[in-house]
Amino acid sequence: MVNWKRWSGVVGILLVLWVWQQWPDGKLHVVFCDVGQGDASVIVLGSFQALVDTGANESRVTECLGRLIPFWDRQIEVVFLSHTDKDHVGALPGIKSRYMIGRIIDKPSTGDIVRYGSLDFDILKGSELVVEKVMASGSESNESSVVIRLVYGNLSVLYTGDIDTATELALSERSVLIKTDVLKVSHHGSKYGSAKEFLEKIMPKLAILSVGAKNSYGHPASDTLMRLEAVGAKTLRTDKSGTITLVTDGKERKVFTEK
Amino acid sequence: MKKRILILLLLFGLRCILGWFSILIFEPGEKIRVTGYANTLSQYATKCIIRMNRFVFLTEEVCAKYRDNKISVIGNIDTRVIDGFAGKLWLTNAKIEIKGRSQELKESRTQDRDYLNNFRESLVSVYKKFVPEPEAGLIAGIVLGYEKDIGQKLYQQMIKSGSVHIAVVSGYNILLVGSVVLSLSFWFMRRPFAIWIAIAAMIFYALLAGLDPPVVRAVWMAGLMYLGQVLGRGSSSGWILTFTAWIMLMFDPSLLSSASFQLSVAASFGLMVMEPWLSKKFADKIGDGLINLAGSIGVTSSLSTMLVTMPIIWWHFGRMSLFGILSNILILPLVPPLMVFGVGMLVSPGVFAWSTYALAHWMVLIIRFFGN
Repeated sequence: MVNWKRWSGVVGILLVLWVWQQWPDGKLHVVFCDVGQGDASVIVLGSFQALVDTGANESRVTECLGRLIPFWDRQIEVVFLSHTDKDHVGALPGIKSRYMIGRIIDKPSTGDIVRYGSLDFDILKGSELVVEKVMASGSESNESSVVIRLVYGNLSVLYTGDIDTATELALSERSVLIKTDVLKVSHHGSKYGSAKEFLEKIMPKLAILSVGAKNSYGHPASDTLMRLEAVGAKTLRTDKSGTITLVTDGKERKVFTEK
Repeated sequence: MKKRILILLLLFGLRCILGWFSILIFEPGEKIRVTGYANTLSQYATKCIIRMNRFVFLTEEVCAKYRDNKISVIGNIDTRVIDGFAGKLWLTNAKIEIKGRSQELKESRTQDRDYLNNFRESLVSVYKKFVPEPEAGLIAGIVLGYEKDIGQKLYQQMIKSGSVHIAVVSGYNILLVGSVVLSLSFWFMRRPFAIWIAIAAMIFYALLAGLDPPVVRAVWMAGLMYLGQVLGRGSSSGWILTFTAWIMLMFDPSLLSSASFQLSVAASFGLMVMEPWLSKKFADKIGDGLINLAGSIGVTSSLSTMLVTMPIIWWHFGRMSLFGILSNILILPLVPPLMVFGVGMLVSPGVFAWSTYALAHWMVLIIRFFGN
């Protein structure tokens, strides 16, 4: 029933095809995975892979990783965790059971820089609180989110976890914010985040909203979308566009969406 | 051959008449109370069909509620022809009362199930560790019938492309395991021993696949066919298949109306009878070379299986897509080698992981193409 010689030949040809198909192109890929209600972003540069948050849905994030990481590479060099909410870290055990993880960075300090070749991850805010009092609408866990600025050539991406207005304003006052090309909008576009002053400091050209379709929280809020529009940011949502991919050689940036 | 089949039909008819006579002592509509443990519980969407001795009844509750519980049922006798032949009676308007729980029975069954589930999960974890998703989930589905890890998106695409059946262990998989183990065993031992090894492998595989009723039935069917070969009836596979199906129907004539039984028989017929016939016909028309190539990569066996199962699928489920036929022609030939490499991966993951992935990735691309 199984002709071994013939099938070895077929498998050999397929393997050559898949290696050719998945061989890294040397460009930076920043991918915002459609993981439903949650955040997960994969950064790929050559044989280096990083993950910023994991989302809660193991099957969705591992499928996203499977599409981006070549089949022969079973290691993720670094995983950043913004904070401990399930929609940001829930799938971590599932990822650990599939991939070897070089380093997990869950509690960095403000001012830390994680560097991999020409790729910089600047920690603008560590896991410590920068506000004296958490607003009634917020939570200590959200406000302790790590804020990371990824820089590669001309491209910069700001990851904001689930910080709310109070932390955004505190960061604005500290003058750590500079103009950024792409913003991963905080707290899935909640009305308690993306303050006008904060957005005016970073003036994003592209705003990514990682939200689940028909989520029960009403994310993203229409107020937030209006504020983003007011600063001239183009918005893309994972619930509508599916997985969103930015590809750059450090100079030019291209955006691809799944849907 | 014709005489033998006539005798079998006659005996089957007698069996049905005897079954029918055995239910005549009950009056249709008569109220009856039965107490005991369920022999089988089958969940169909929101309904659960329970069999207790010779009585069959239906409830809107989930089957799990009645598992390992002593129950008492009051219902009205209903006689249905096909079940009457099996000596079974339906109880309509069944009111079920839970009488108590058999702790001992529950614990021993749960423990057995846990051992089996843990073992299965540990095997699935090998695929997860060495192969990316969604290929790992698909491999676990095809090799072990473990559907849980197939991502929702891919599963939907499998439904749309008409290929979802590959992730369910069926008679087809059981026959594949049997025939692959058989062909491997021939290298080391004589035919009768090799057949026993193949039967043992099929039983072990059925255990791994969770012992669902269709799987058990397929083991019976393939096991009896191989036993027939041990007894020197290897050349007439059509006759052995007929005899095997007959034995199963003698035990339970109501199987005749079961879609999974019909599909098991049809798939076996396709593989064992139709495929050699079809290959010969094609070879006469278009030459040996091309047909040998198609046969060696499994195209003819896939085509034969599909030709005989498609009308049954259409009859029971009301759909038969042309895309489904095309996607199956491109996917099904890969199932046997993928199963072999997938089992090899469980023994030596480092050696077989890439070859298993190569086949699974092709399948995923085909499923995505036709599923979109």
